[in-house]
Amino acid sequence: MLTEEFEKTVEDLPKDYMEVNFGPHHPSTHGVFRFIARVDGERIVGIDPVIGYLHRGVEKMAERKTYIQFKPLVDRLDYTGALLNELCYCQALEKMAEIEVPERAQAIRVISAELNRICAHLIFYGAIGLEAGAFTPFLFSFAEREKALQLLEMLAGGRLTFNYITIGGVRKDIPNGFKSELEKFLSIFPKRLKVFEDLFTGNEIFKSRTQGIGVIKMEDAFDWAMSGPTLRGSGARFDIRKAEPYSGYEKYDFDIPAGENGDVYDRYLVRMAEMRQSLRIIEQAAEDIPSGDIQVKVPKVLKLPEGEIYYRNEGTKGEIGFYIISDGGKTPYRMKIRTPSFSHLSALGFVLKGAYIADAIVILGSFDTVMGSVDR
Amino acid sequence: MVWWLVFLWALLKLVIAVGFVLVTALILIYMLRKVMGRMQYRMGPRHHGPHGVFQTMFDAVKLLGKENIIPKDVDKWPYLWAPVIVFVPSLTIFALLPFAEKIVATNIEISLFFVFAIMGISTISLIMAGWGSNNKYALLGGLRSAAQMMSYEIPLILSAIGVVIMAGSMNLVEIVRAQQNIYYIVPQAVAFFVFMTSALAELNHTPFDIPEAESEIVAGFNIEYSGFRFASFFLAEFVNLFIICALATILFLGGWLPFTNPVYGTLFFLFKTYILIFVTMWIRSTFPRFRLDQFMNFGWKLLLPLSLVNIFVTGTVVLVVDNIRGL
Amino acid sequence: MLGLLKGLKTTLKAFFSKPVTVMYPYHKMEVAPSGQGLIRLRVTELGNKPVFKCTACGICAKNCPQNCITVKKMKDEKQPDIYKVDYSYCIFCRICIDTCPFDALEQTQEYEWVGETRDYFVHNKKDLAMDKVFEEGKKE
Repeated sequence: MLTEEFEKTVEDLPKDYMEVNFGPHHPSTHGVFRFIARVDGERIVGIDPVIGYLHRGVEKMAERKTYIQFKPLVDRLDYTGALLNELCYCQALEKMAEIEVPERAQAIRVISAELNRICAHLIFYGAIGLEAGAFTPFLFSFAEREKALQLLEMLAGGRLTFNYITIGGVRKDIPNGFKSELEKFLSIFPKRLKVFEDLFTGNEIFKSRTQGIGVIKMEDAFDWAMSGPTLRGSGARFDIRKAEPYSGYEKYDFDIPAGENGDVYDRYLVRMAEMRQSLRIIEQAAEDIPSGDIQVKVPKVLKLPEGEIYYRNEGTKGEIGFYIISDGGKTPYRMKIRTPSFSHLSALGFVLKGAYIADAIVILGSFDTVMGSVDR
Repeated sequence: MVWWLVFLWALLKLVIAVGFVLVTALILIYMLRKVMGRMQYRMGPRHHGPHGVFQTMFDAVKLLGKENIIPKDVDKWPYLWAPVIVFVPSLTIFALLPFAEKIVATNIEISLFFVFAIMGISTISLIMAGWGSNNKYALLGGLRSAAQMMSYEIPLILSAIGVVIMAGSMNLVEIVRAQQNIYYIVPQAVAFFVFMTSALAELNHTPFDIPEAESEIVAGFNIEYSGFRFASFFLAEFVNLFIICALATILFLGGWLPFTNPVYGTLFFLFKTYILIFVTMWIRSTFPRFRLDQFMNFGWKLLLPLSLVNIFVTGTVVLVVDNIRGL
Repeated sequence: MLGLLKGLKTTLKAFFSKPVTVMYPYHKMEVAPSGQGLIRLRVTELGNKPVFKCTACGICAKNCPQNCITVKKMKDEKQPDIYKVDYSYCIFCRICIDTCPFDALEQTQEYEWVGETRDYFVHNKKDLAMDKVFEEGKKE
């Protein structure tokens, strides 16, 4: 439902509104993002977003490094869920070079990726508590996240950037003691999720802050290329793990939660439900991990055949895609990375029209952007 | 020979009162940090004294030592006097609060009325602070905070009238004495709820702390204050917290009853006040905050009618019971 | 009202439970054996002499994404003459460990290090081979 009205930039509006600058130093988290809002009293009339404060030239660096040398830099795109970026990149290369990944490696990849998804959604829970004004959920969720990060450190060797998933498998096998710790985590975590929901989900003040705010209808969401929990909050049950399954996801049984109204409260509920579904997947994957190798033999210097490929994955915030054009050499000719936060931020002006200033921060928090992936 | 002794005695009482006020503020700040920390699975301050008891004192000393910055083009008179004026009502009210039967600095006939009258003065210091800083965000924050405090004073005062009707007097000591049979929280439960909620809004506490913690448009009226001027706003908030909880204890929880002994009475009074303060801090660490228009709605459309209905029902019941007893 | 009361009950329960704070630096949490830390050279015995397993082939330096390793071979032995790692560039990706054909590099769990000058972070082969890498007075 795009009309010409929404295509006008802020410069076309009459110039007697007050300008408020939400500078790059934000009191609430989400990275360095700046937007200038034209405000009529309390209502926002239009915004002008400014990005690029975290630009590192990742796509240009890709043209100078070999495929294996570039892999550690892919972690740093969406740094809250780093393993999912690596998974997408490695699967793109494996599809193009026609490498088969052994089943044991696929199961370990799924376990580590879903643990990382839980970590990223816990950050969302803490941040939306901060934006609504309560300080306690932030500390609760970071205390829980610590346990998941210790599990990941035991398995993958890092807490924020891992470099664990390699082309052809994973880097190291499951250490001793990991399975018992994982079972402990799986038995405690659902109870902690219930505590989080008691604290916040039924809270009338939180509901009055988030219900009916920032409504995005399903057609608008598809028009603005949204994906992930932001799209599922508007009612579309679309998940790439079910639509184009990869890495063994077709073997596991899980649901796709979706909202009804498309407001902030529905997006919050979708992410809380996704955490429970991730727990289900981990339980099923950890029950019987097939035995075998963890990595296939891959040449030390990988050369891809000539051609191009676009491969997409379900990341923590939405659809991550890698578009690689190769000319047969050691380095790619062009690598384009499609990130979900960039598309969501482009829709911010549309969603914020007519909203209160106090609601603008909550709506931005419900999109759950991370600036590493917007600026690359 | 006698006049300077009287003068000295008055000065001593004044020093004790001011000292008590400041020590209370320090204790309350320490209590807030410890209680809020424990509710978030962490410890509060730990170094600087056993269990960190001297932390607040060191913080106050640090704030005293900061550079004295006065921004350019401020309106000097309101800017410099606002932090002073915000403290004055709190100190004056301390002279009227009774801690036990005989322990009250001054006891006048209409002390409750006087207390409410003086509490309104602290609102004007916020407007002075907002206007005096040469900053449009401070002005907006100051005006919002003033609007909030003014609109929540009405339910605060009206909810206390039910107690006055039942007790038959505006004297604080008399009100406590009238609660010997039953504490007024039981027949006046609705008024207690309205009183505590309006008190949270008066103090700019969560869930009504939009002017203070507005993370969208920075920190409201005290954005241009630094050093000890900022600390005085902060301390004044905690002193007001103590005063309002003490008032709530006197009006609804029976003050120092059932002890008439001055020592035990004061201790029990302080114990009840600190329980109410703990409940306020408990609420502060749990709830998110309301949006501005939502809590204006809450105040004008819910609390004000509730308090008016409370007065009506209380008056009717007291009249009927008196007539029945007279028959 | 019910949601508000449930929230209050949750925080009260948290008030009476044990805090999760770890008083760093008096107590430290344990790092798993696979945790990321500094990279160092392995030393073995050949006869009775300690030698590096590294033969200065230079594969780690070629594959490093950040070009932070400098290697130079000795004239007549298969040992490194100069082996420098600049830790202010290193991103701890461990590609050097994975690609070394002689298994000459390993990973420690050291994560606390503070330097005063930029030169502190360039470690040469003596520092990389020692057991305790950060004792005083051993950096030249």
